[in-house]
Amino acid sequence: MRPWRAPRSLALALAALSALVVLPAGARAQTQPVALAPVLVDGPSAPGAGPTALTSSIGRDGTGALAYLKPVAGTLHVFVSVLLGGTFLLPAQIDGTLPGASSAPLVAAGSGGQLVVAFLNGSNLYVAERPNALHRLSAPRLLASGASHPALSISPFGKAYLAFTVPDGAGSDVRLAYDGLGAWAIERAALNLRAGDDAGTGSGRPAVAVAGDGVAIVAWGEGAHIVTRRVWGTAPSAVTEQADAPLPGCSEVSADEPAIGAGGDSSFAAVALHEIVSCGGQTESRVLVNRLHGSRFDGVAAADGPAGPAPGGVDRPEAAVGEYGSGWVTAEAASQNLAATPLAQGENPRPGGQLNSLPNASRPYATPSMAGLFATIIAWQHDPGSGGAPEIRARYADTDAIFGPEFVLSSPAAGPTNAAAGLTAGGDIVGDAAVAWVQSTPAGDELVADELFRGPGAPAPTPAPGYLRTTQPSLAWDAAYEPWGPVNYAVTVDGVAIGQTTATSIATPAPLAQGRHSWQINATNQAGLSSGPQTGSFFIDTLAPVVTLALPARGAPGRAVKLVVNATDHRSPLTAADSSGVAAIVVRWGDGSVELIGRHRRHVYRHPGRYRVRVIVVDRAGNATTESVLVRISAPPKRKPKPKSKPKHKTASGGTRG
Amino acid sequence: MGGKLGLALALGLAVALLAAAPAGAQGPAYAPSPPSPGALYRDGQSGRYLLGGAWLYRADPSDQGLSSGWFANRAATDGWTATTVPNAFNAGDFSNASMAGAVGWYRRDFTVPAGAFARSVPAAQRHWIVRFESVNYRATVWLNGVLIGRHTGAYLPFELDLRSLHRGVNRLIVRVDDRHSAADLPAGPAGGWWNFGGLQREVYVRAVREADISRVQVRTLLSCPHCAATIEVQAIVRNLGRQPVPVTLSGHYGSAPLSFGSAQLAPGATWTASAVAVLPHPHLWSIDHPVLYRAALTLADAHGVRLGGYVTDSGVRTIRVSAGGQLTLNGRVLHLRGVSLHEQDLRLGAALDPAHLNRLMGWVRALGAHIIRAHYPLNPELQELADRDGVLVWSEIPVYGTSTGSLSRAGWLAQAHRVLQENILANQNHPSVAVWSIGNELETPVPAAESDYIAGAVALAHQLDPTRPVAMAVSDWPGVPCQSAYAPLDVIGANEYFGWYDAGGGTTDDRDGLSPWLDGVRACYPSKAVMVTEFGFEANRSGPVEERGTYAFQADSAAFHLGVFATKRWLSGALYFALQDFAVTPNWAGGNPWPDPPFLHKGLFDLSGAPKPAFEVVAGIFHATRQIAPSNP
Repeated sequence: MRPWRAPRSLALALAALSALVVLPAGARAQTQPVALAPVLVDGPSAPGAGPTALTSSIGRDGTGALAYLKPVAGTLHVFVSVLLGGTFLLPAQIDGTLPGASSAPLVAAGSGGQLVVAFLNGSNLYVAERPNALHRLSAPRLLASGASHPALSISPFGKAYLAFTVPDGAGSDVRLAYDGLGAWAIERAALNLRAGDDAGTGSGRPAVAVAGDGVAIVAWGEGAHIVTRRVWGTAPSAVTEQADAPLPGCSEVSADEPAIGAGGDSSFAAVALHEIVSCGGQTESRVLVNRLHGSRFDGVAAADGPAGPAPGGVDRPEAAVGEYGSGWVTAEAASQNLAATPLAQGENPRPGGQLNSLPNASRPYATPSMAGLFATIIAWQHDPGSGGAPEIRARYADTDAIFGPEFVLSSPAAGPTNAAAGLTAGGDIVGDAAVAWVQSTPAGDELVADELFRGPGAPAPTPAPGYLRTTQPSLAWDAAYEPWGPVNYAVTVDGVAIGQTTATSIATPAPLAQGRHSWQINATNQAGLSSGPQTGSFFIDTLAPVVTLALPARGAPGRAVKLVVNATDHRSPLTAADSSGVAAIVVRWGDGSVELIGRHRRHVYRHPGRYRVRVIVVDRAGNATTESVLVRISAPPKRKPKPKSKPKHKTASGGTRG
Repeated sequence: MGGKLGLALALGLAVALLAAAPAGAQGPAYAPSPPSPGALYRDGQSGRYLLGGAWLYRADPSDQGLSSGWFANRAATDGWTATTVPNAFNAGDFSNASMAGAVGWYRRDFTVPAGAFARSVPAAQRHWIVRFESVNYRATVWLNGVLIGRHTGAYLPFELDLRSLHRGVNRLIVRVDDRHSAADLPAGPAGGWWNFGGLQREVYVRAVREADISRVQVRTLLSCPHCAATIEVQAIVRNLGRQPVPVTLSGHYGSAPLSFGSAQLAPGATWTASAVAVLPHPHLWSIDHPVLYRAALTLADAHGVRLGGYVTDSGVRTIRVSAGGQLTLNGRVLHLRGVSLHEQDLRLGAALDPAHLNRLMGWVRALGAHIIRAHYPLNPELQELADRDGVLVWSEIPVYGTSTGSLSRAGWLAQAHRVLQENILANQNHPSVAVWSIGNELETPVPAAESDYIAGAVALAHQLDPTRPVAMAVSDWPGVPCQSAYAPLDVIGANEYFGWYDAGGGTTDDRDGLSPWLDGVRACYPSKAVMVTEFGFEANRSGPVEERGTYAFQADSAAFHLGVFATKRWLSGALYFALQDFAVTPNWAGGNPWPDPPFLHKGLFDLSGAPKPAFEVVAGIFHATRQIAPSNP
């Protein structure tokens, strides 16, 4: 319920006009995701018996779940649909053992399929969880009685915090439970600023966000202010902070509706809140954001764009913050327009603007959510009023504070969407996003989900040995990263397509020529987006060197004989560029000595005899030719000089492979 | 003859008087003085004189000194200001311009010390050498207006012959340019740590009679902890004169005699002399018992007249990586705990005096650290203190912040290899040097050019010193695959900041990821010794324990990380980063939500030298950690 507002001044009227300015799509090329057709997750259910209170969470690795309520025999129960490999699995009821109605379902996804589901059954707070995708969700476990207003958050590393409110005397306390080691533990004392305060009730219900470092920031309403407190595991901070403050030139009346966004570093958190302020005698309903910086707030800033001072005001803040502190705060105006304000770590919020391009007839139920380290998706319901049926729209910002164009996710033919029953969004680390909502089709209420894909990661050609000794090599690569669904790989060699596969290797179908070849691998996901070609190269050399030896047929003990090796690794009509080249020449002199030589070498035999000299020539691919020649070592005649012997030549090609 | 001598003396006196005369109207009064005998550290030649005392400095912000002839041999001091050396000309200046670097000139007018040579030594046999322990970064040196040499690179000494030294006043002028380019070590501009320019360490002059023992290398070989030790000593002797010199070199290692033999040295020639000694029952140097042996060498002429000497302390020990991938000292497995440091002081910059160097080592001792590391070769005084205190040194060259493009350039490679070689030659006698580190935090995963650098540098280091492992400090985080490029390394230094810096898209956000990540590193490199070469947390204020940058957070985090390290019995060591807060770069934030640029506040001691609460925590854990396995009986 929105508070009463005083009549507007001229200035406010001008501001209202400026609120019609829509955040433009980024001028620079935005990498926008590609949406598949929406898929049915649950339903159709009889009108009025469909899903409600829809929430979702997607971990960085793309695993996650939807959680929602649906009546069973007239009583609301909790259902969960697990997201695995890009598919929402059949929903399952998780509170079947509990009597009575459940409410306030929440889900949080870590990684590897880790899930935490929390909900109220009556006033009992339950949790169900699973450590990874190999396990089923556990049976619900009672965490606290007399609870209300639960808020759940989990870090990418599985540190889960669950804030809630419990009665305490005449008022209520804000309590917090933590699960970091596979078991829940509740903080010893309430987080309240003052024990006697009525904290965390009504529109001051608690909010919690856990940073990547495992420290949670909890915010709640207490004494008409928003109080924050960090908690590290089971240890609440020794200090608390007040997030709300009056805007410059205004005085503060009250604050409520806290929302928190945190990235990897808990030193920085964006706390958005709704604040009633009095400015120049006029009361305004505003959405502000204050950056928690260490244990101090930097100071409030408007986070409601030009709609802030507009008639009817603004409320319902939401916040989403990525790993490095960038993100968005959304706020909904009485005009049903949606304001979005960009956040950046180390900076004050930049001026925001209106996100929706068309006038809206009802509440947009905006759901800002991170998709990746930087990207954000904001989905909302666009209601044209009498001009048509409500539909789900979204805008996506890939890496900075500039949104891409607005697009429609829901299928108009499927009937009006019902964001009041459910609209939720989430994303994985590569920027894929999923949006789910309730839609009233002619057949009944349905829970549908739509997945938006970014391109897959680049497959990396597996480092091949420099040279291959086969003309039909198998080419391999490291898989392209794609959390959702199969990837198809298309391979070309020397510009010619040789096949497609979902495996990570492929055999070349026909013999390839000697020499160097280039090849490319391109991954394409189920949305038809490709990684872009990645290039590798290999060199085929299956031919052994050609070797010619020259060695005198005779020699004398103590006198050197000279071996000349003429070796080449290419043969006509191939060129030198088609062969790997001679890598090594090894000579076994036959007298027990072995040497790695150049093209020639002198050798001295100590004793007379016949020696078989073996020369092994190896090319860089490992092909080897062995050739041998005999040399006779004998004492020289004493009386007359022996005629000089002619070198003995022998030519060989092919031979033993090394 | 008497007339000529008289004239020369008169001229010399006139020059001396001129030089000693009061300076020009705007310059400081400046009188030449002789260097003082001796050196601040032990190892080295006899005949060393410390060229301390009064120096002059002249800033050259517009780099006009060369064209204006500031190197000229003029007595006037206008434009110069008084200073002392060591000196960082931009100490206390933490502006962007200071970090970017500038040119400054140093000048020392000095007379030749009386008594450097015996009266009987003819002038032709008297020679002098000047030694600069470290100049950051480019030095150009003139003596009496004559250019005598240049040198590039800090943290390692270089020497020049003072051939034009004469009676009376001599004027040594050094132009120092500390502007770093991307091809320098460390890469600039504005890279690495604070760029303090100047004569960072001492300057010495050395009297040499005929021939100089330029360098002595002692290599101790021990095949088993209880075996006899073989001591190989190699000396480089250089004839500085213009006449052939017959020389004999002898000495002892501990009590074992060393006989190098004799040689006839042609003018300008060098003689590489070698000797071997055997210690049947050596006392081994260890971190718990740092026994030093002194090698003392004497150079004499053919008549047995002493020309010079050289002493160097070393230790008998082995340091190896075991087959199981653990660093061992004398066969004893190491689990070292230590600290990284910078030779820096808020007031002095990087030009530390002995008192500050001793203070650093005092903190190291108090901490219970048995290994220290800097991103550059240490001051020789620190290095000797480490020898004496049983503190190992991760000896690293300033290859840091280098772009992959530079790594493949021939000029850069030649420079890096030269610096690596200079470090090994300058410091290999120190038993405290545990490893030669070829760099810090190059790119991860390793590109081809870095892979080639690693292979080449490791091969060079092994060739120059086959007795020590070769290491590199690397950045790594969850998700980084095993790097085949690290294959040539013996020791991998893993820098980790779990729970502090965000690496790999948030993979190191949560400190609970530390233990499994370490196990992964071990699995990648099972046969190599692995050390954590950096972990640390900023602390510059009081505040709650969960808030980064508070003293409580630092202490808690350090204890947590050390607790994880204690569970990894294969881990050869861990070094906290850093001992004391220091200046880094003008906009340094260091992961601290409330930073204090340009200072890094991860130190266990603050900028004033006061210990932070984490010091007690870390010291308590270090002292309680058995850092070396018991010796076998």
